[in-house]
Amino acid sequence: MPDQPASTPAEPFETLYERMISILRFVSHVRFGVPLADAEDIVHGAFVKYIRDYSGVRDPGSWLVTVVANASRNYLRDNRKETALPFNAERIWADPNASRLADVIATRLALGAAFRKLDAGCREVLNRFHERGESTEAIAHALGTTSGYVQLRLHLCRKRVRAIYLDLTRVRS
Amino acid sequence: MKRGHLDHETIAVYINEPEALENLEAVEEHLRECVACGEIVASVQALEAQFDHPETWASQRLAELPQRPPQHLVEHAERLRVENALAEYLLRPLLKNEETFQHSSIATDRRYYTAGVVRCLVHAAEEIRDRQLRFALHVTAAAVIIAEQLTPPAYGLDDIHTAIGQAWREHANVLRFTGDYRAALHAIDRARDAFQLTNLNTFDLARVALVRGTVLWKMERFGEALPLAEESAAGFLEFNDTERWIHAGLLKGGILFDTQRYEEAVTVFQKLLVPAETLDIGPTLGLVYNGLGAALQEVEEVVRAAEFFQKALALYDHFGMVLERTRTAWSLARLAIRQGHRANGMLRLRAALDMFLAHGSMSDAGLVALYLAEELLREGRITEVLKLCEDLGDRFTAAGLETRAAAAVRFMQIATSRGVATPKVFEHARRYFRRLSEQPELPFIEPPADDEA
Repeated sequence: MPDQPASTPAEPFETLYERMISILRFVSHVRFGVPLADAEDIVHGAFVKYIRDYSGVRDPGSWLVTVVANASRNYLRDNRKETALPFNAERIWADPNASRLADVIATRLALGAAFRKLDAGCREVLNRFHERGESTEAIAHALGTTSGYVQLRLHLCRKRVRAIYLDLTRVRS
Repeated sequence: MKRGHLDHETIAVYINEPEALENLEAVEEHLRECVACGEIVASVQALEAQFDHPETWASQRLAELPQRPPQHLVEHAERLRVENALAEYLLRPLLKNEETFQHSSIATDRRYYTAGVVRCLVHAAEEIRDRQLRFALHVTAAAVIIAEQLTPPAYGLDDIHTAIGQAWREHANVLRFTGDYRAALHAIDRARDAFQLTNLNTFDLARVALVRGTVLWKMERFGEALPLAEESAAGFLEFNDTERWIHAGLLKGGILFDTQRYEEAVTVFQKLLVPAETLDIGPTLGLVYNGLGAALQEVEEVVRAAEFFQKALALYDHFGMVLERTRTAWSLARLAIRQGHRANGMLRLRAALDMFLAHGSMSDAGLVALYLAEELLREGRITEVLKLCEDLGDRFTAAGLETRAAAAVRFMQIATSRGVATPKVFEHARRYFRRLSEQPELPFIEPPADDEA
C-alpha cells in the first residue's frame, strides 16, 4: 500500500480554492475575455477535475491555471462569432517568465480590488486618465472644471489607491 | 536632502508631474545617490504602470466575487474524499502482498465497484511497479475490470470515462514494463479513447502521449514515437510538471540514442540533468544519469560516462530498482570491455545475464548473452560460447520457450560450432530478442541459408 494515501491531498481543497480562485478567474475572464458567468463555470470545472484526480498532479496551482487557460482558449474557439481571441491567448503559460507573470496578475488583481474601493469620483478621474488615455484638459472639459483641479485629484486619488493597495496586500501576506 | 530621504509626497509628484517640482534637480541628484529612495520610486513606478493596463481595470469586478468555494464543490470534494478513504480501507488488506490480492474477490465483489477503488488501485500500481511488476500487473488488470463496470447513475459519464482512462493508462504502463508492447499499445489506445470523451483532458492526453510514445519507442517505431515525446514534453512544460517533463525528455533522448543520433541524445540528456538534480526524485534522476552515461559512452567520453553510470547504480540500489540496475550494470560491463578491462567486463556481463534470468526478463537475458558470446568469439573461446548457449537453451526451455528464445540460442550454438557465427547472424538473433519483448509468442525463424555465410 502506498505511503501517501490517495485520500489526502497535499493542500486541503478549501485552502487551494481560496489561494487560486482570483487568479483563475483573472486568467479566464480578464486575460481571455470569457464572459464572467462562463469563466466561473470553466474555473469550477477545473476544480472538479482536480478533486477527482489530484494524485497525478505535481503542482496544483500551475495545473489549474493551465487547465483553465486551455478551457478558455477552447471556449473562445467554440464561440468565435461572439468573442475575438485576445492577442496573447496562445500558450501564455509557456512563458519562461511565468512566475513573473503570476506576480503581475497578483498586482493587477489587488489594484483592481483597490480601484473598486475608491469613491466614484476618484475612480472616474483615474479611469479616464489611465485606462482611456484622456488628457487632463479633456477630463477637465468633460467634468466642467479646470485641468489644475484634475491634476490635483489625480495626485490625491493615486495616493489613495496606493494606500488601499498596500493595505490589501499587507493583509494577504 | 542628501542626509535624509525624500518624503512620499515628493516621490509621488516626481513620478507623475516632475515638472511641477521646484527642486527637480536636487531630487534627481538625491535619487542618483540614495538607493533606498531609488527603490521606492521604482516600486511606485512599477505599481502605477499597472494603472494604465486594461487588465487592471477589468479585474475590478473580480473583487466582488466570493472567495470561498461554493457549497456544491465542498460537498463534491468531501464525497470523493470519503470514497477514496473507503477504498483504501477495503484495499489495505488485499494489497499487503501479491498472493492475497490474487486470491481476493476484488474483480467480482460489487463492494469494490467504485471509482475510488480504481483510483486507489492505479495509485498502488504506480508505487509498486518498479519493484513488483507482476503484482502491479494484477492490480491494474483489476482496476480495468472495475472501471469498465462503473455505470450511471452512480457516476456521471465524465467520471466513468476518466476512471476507464486512468485504469487502462496505468495498465499500459505496467504492460510496457513487462515488455508486452503489443498489449501495452492496445491498452494505451483504450485509455486515449476514454480520455477523449472527458472534459478538460489536455493533461490526461499528454500523459497518454508519453506512455504511447514510450511503447512505440520500445517497438522500434521511432518515427511515430519522436513526435509523441515532443508533444508530451511541451504539454508537461505548460503544466509545470517537471518530473513528467523529464520523463518525456528521457523518451526523446532514448529515441535519439537508438537511432544513433548520439550527439543530439547527449544534448537532450544534459538538458535534463539540472532539473532532475533539483527535483531530486531518485529513480527519475537515476534514469537521467543512466541515459547520459550511455550517450556519453557512444561519443567516446568514457570517463564521464562511467561517472554517470556509477551514480545511476547507487540510486537504483538505494531504491531497489533491480531491472534498471541490471541494465546499467550491463552498460558498465560494455564500458569496461571497451576500455580494455575485458576480464572484469566479462564477469559483469555474466552477472547481468544471471540477474535478468532470475527476474524472468528473457529478452534482456538473450541480448546480454549475444553480447557476451560475441566477445567470447572475439577471443576465440568457442567452447565457452557453446557452453553458454547450452546452459541458456536449458534455462529458456525450462521457462517454456522451446520454440522461441531456446530455438534462437540453439541456432547460435549450431552457427558457432559450424564456424559461421558472423556479425550478420548475431544481428539476426539480436533483432529477434528485441522483438521477443514486443511479441512474447513470436517463434524464432532461422535466416535464409545465404545469410549465414
